[in-house]
Amino acid sequence: MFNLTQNIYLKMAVLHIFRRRGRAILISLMIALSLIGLLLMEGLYEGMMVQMTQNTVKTGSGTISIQHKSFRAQNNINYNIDNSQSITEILDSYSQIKSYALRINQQALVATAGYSQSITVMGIDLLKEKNHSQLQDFIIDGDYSFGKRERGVLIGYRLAKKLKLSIGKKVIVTMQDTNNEIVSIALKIEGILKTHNTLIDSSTLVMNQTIMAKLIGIQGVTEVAILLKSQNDEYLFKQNLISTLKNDTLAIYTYKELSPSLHEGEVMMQTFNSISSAFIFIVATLGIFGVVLVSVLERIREFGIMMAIGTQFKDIARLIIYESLIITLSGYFIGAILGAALLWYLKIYGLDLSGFSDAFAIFGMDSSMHAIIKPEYFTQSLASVILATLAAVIIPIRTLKKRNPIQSINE
Amino acid sequence: MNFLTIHKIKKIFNQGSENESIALREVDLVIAKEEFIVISGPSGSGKSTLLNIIGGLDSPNSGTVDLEGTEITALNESELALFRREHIGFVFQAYNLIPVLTVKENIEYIMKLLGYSQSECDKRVLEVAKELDIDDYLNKLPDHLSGGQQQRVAVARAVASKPKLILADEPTANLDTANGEKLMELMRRLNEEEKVTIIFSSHDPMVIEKARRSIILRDGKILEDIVRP
Repeated sequence: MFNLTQNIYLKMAVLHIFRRRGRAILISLMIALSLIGLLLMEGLYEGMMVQMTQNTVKTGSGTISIQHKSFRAQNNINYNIDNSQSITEILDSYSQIKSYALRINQQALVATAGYSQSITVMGIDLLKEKNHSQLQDFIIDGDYSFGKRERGVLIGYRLAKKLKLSIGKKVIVTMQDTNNEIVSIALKIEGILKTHNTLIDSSTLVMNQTIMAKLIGIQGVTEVAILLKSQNDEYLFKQNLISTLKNDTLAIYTYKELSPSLHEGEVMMQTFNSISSAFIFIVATLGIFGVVLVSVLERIREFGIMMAIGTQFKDIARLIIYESLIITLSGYFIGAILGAALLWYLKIYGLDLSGFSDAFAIFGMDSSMHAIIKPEYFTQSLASVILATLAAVIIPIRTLKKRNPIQSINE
Repeated sequence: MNFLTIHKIKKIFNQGSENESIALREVDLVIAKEEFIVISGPSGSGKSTLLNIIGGLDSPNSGTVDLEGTEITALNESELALFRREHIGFVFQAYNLIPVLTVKENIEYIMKLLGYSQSECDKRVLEVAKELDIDDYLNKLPDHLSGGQQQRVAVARAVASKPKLILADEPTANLDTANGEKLMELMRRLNEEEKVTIIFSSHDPMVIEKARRSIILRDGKILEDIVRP
């Protein structure tokens, strides 16, 4: 509760702002615009990063991937998971799991009449994968199907472009089987994928898991890809799964371990966001500082009068702080409301950058950027604005403190 | 016991520098309660400096000022502000009203700092405003008043909280003769009716003759101390 004395300073602060409203509006707008920029940057960058991570996690190895402990190092399908049924029974008991998929991954060579390339063949169950990676949503040409004889294949759009392949064309896929013999199969292109997962788009063929298993003579699968409901719980879930599975032959990886570049990208984005925030904070502080300093210096006489007739210095300081906080917090609230509205719009409708889709695709990003809104964007920026204001008023208040009332009145 | 005792006050501006000037040279002065005193003298004689030191707005290089047992010169800035708030009213040559506050808010400002309730403030403001004939302007801002009106508001602000002492530094300097005379009559009446000690500075003979006691300063020293019957 304000008492009479506090009330008069608050009222004086408001009156001062009103009398010099041009300057107050300018600084409020400066803070509001800085905040809108900061919120958009944070929301869009984080949205971009989440989109990129989700694309990779969803269509790739999941949030958590279970593999034979030697598969990753040796890249040999003999190191596979042959007891996948016992694993899936355990996975079914976890409520944190959104979905999982069993896959066979093998290195291969894909060849057409004119071109060939080293790729990864991913053997999947189309129906089960529909609920897991939702690959059907990424088909840009053809169908989400392996054809009538299941001899069809889905191909990443960049690989298709490189090999000059289109729907209906055939490719020869050559792999090594479990006996280290070379086996080949002719497959027809049924669908072209654009997943924004660079690995899938550039170097993966997706084929029927049963046919692939027969072809290379594998009994089990090479990977169980798990998607968690909350991506942030991956480390705890991994620890829990290790203790539940109690299987020395298995290795459990988080997506950060499997795609360190993705994690580095996240860290880089966070760092970039922090640097940008710090930069905006410094600019806003300098702006507030300049305005407060000028405002104090041009009113030194007025403050001198107040001190002369009995106002204590701490009350003058309080008046200056009130005034500065009212101006900056007005700017903050304008910026926060407009920023939140813009972020909300961009969260729903996204920012269409289709003109740069190829460039974004290289980094595994969609051409439509969808923002994210987090409460901490607002709480952190509120704390920053308050801190910047308090930092900005220190020097003007110290300048005033050095003078006695009569020096200030004679200013 | 003396109301105000000034003992060997010395004030040097820019001490140690090329433009060093001595404003007050060990001034001694004793003032009784309810006196109506003018400090006069030519420009640069030290009138304003003496008033500022009495009011705790400036500090002397040496010497002491004692107001009813409180040594003002020994107080720190914060204590001085509280002391001025409680015991001293100021009237400045340039009025020095707070521009963002209305006349009423200017008058009640010190009373609010002293913890008066709003109803007490309203009552006292109206009383003083009527006395000073400014009750029609209470809701106006100082900028909208003439110089004479602003000075009366400044006097109202100084007397509203019933201080022991009013210090007025050349209060008529910016007023025309008629307004100057009116103001002096008013201050004299306040001195008699409100029993407040008033010390003001001036070099205007018309103003000086209104005071019962005149202290004439020259070159930082008291030249004469004249008490009129």
